[in-house]
Amino acid sequence: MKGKSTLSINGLIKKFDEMFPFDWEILRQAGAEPVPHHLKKWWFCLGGTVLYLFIIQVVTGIALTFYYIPYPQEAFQSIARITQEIRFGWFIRSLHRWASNFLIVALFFHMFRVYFTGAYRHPRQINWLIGFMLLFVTLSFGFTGYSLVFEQMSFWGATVATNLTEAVPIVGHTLAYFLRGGPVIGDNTLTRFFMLHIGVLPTLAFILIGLHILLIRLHGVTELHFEGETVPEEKRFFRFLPDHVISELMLGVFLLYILTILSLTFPVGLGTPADPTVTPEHIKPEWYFYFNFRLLKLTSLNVSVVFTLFLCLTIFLWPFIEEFLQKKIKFPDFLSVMTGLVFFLIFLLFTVWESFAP
Amino acid sequence: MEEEDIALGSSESTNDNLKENSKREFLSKIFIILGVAFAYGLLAFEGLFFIVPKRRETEKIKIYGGRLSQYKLGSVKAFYDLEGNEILIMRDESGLKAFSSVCPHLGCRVHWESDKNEFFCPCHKGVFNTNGVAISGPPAKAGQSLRKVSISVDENSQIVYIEVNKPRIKA
Amino acid sequence: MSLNAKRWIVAGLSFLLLASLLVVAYRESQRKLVEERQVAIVTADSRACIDCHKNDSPALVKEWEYSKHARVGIGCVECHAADRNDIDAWKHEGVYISALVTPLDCAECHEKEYKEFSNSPHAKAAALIYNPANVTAAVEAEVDGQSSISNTARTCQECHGSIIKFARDEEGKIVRTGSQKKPFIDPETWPNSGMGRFNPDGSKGSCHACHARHAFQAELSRSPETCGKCHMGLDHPQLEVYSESKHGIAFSANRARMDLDKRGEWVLGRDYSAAPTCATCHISSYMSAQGFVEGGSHDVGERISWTLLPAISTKVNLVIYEDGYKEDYPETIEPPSIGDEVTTIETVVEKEKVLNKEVRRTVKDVIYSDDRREKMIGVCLNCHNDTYVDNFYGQFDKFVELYNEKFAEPAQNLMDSLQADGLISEEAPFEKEVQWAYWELWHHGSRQARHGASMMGPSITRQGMYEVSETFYSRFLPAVISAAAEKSPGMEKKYRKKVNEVLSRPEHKRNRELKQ
Repeated sequence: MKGKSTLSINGLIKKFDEMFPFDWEILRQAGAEPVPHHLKKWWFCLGGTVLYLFIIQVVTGIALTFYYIPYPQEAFQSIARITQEIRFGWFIRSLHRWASNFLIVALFFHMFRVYFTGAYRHPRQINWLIGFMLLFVTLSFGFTGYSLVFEQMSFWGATVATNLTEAVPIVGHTLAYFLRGGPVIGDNTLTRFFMLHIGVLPTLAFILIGLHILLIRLHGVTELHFEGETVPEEKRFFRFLPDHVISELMLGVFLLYILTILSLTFPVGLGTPADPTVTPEHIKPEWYFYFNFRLLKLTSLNVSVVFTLFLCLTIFLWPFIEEFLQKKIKFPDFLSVMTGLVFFLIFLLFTVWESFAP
Repeated sequence: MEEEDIALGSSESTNDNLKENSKREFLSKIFIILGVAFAYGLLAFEGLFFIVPKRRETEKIKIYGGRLSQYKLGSVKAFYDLEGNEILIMRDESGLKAFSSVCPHLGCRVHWESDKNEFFCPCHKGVFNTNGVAISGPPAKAGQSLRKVSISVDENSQIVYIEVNKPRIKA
Repeated sequence: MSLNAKRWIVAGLSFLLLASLLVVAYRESQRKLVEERQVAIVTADSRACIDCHKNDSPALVKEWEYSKHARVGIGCVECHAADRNDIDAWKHEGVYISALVTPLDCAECHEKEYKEFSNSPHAKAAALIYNPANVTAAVEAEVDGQSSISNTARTCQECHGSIIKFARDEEGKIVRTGSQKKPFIDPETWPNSGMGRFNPDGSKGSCHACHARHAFQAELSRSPETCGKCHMGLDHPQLEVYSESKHGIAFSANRARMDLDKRGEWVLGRDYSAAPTCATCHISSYMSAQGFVEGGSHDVGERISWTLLPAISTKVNLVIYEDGYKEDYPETIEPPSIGDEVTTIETVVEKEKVLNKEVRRTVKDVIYSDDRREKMIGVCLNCHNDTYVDNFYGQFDKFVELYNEKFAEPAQNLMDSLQADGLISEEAPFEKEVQWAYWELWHHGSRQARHGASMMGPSITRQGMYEVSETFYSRFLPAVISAAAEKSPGMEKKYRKKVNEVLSRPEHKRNRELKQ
């Protein structure tokens, strides 16, 4: 250790630097990332929206874990207690529920934005893969989270979903058994859904989000040029700090404001507690699964599951598939767009259709 | 959205408006800091209220414990409160006395030994007299006694009332 | 957009957010905690019952949950548990119970009320009509004292009470049904919540007649409608009189101020003041002039000074015996003295048979009608002063005496005479016109009048009195003569003379034209 230590501020900083020899310049540079001009367009902030909402979910989720009890006999009661007894319980829970819906909507829109701006193309294929995995993780969050409420819909929705998994080829049966923790939905199921929802999925999410953002920084944001638009050189980029940050802040405050208003006007209520002996007349999953549900109703169990798997695989590997098609049969750009558009429309159609069905 | 923006490094104002602009900027900076601080601060505050449960005295309630004539003089009767805890009720010349059966030493359950006229805790051989005061064993060394439970008898009807914790409401 | 503009926007948005969070905080402060709801305490014993019965009869269980019993943990077993030797007990889901909860069962906790009630006129309600000597009741109700016929189940029994009997086989053993061997109650005797119901355990009456199960609301028992189920109609229109009276009007206008559902004591002059209900004057507590809480007894006869039941009203003195048994002595008969041994005749039910039993009892106390009236006056003084009350009672007394002297006694004398001359027979109490007329005279019209006078219902009093005179002059007196004429012209002459004697009296002077 070097010489006489002075009690001056500089001395203390120097001592700390020796204890924790991190090059702070790296952070400064990371923050000084020049943001391309087109990011001034609001529909490019959808990814950020998802991240922000995810943070809200983590915070409200952790808060809810203080009071939630993951045993079938107690689960519903604990949520009732949160909603009715605990101070601001109704608010935190409503925030959590509303944010989850907003999150998935933003995620879908982000995905479509990325698709239609071709931002998945070389060299950003890996980010697309990670993004898709994040989609899967998010939908799993939604599914497990809803099941944790242990209302009638939760229970029977979970029953249907785990039964669907049985139809997955080869691994289906084992997968379903693993998810349920047994042959039927029982005590094990709720505990493991809980563990997935607050343990495994968040960990996966953190890792994937980290990689996702890292890759963005490494590649730099895709610079886009819009036809007919000429951008003067000095306006090609703008500062991350403070300009972009403030835009993000605006978005953040606005989102929280909207969520609060929604929580006030449409607070989340309580359904009927799960009853394994009574199947309700109409079982429905959450809206983001309406597409799959409609598909299931239109075809059969096996067909819909296999088709969905095929669809997922296609979307997952799309950058590579598109590249392959472009090379081999000169697959034009606009057909890519069309494919995407068609899928989007069918997705929308099925979702809306299912929402009207009883 | 208007595309009027600030290019890197350039200033947007002339020297004439500099003072005005910096005043505006100062004001907007103050307001944004205040606004964000208060808004998120309140949110954090509300979150804190959520996390920290409300301090609430466990409410007591008197429940029906039979009639005085059902309690034999000199004997001890077991009574279960609404949470399933055993309460030991003894009747002697001075009336009815009720004790929690939880040993103050380490929480084992005491029972009444009628032949020895004492309450006995089998875990560490703690002994309590008819007033619930420990007279032998570890609880005696610590000067402990059995927790008293409030018990009363209605003059007119001779009904015995025992005060126990009110059960938590299940929604 | 300039950075500054962005800052303003964020600032604006965050103030909006702040405002919405303040609304959240406000909403939270307004939220009433679920815990303020009162909760039914379900002990382990009752839990077993409720688990099935909350599906079998959900409203019943909910009513119990609402009751004060539930607040202190009095559940199903506490009232329905029976000793295995009880006649109506059977083993249900492992516990000996009886569906029939009698005043004796309620007495487990409500002993004072039981003692007061079981020696009150209410408890004698069934004895009154089943009394083997009561031929009129027997005929009016077609009851012969030994068995009831379907007519009475929906009429007399419902107010007065039935004799609870069991269906028995040829050997006289109680029929038991089902795997649990539930004793089969004679369906003509149950359901019944009559005030004087003869219960298998020897007690009389039913507490739930006024304290409807299973919520046992005080509100109900304090409301006039409860009493009005029975105390209304042709021969005792108390509910109608009350409703007509200022007391009843004040009540119906101020029902919300009556604190009817007050838990515990309900004292006139302390807890409420707007109006009296039936319970106020006849049962409940009131503030005495000295500032103490007085009264409050389930013996509804305590404050009664006249009996308005018989053809001729008399003031009544109360004789109380050592065992708690009470008897009304009309003032025309000298009451026994304290310490005397008296042979009382009590209508009882033994082995499901009604009989008039002779019971020797020792007199413990005699309460004279004036003292009984004083107890009633204590209630009146809460709102009215001495002069008011004394004058009222003076008017009431005079009215009853008028009726007695002008109509009741002459009519009674004529009837006694007819009876003595063998012109009418007690065995066939409704054979002749004169008997019908006499019945309606005293049992209907005059009782309307007398009750009307007792509780300040002027219109009903007048109605009743009109009926009395109309019946007396245009039906009864002529019927006396025709009854006599049936026998012989000699009888006719005799009775014509008697009737004219009556009509000659100064009080009947306006009807002298009827003299024949």
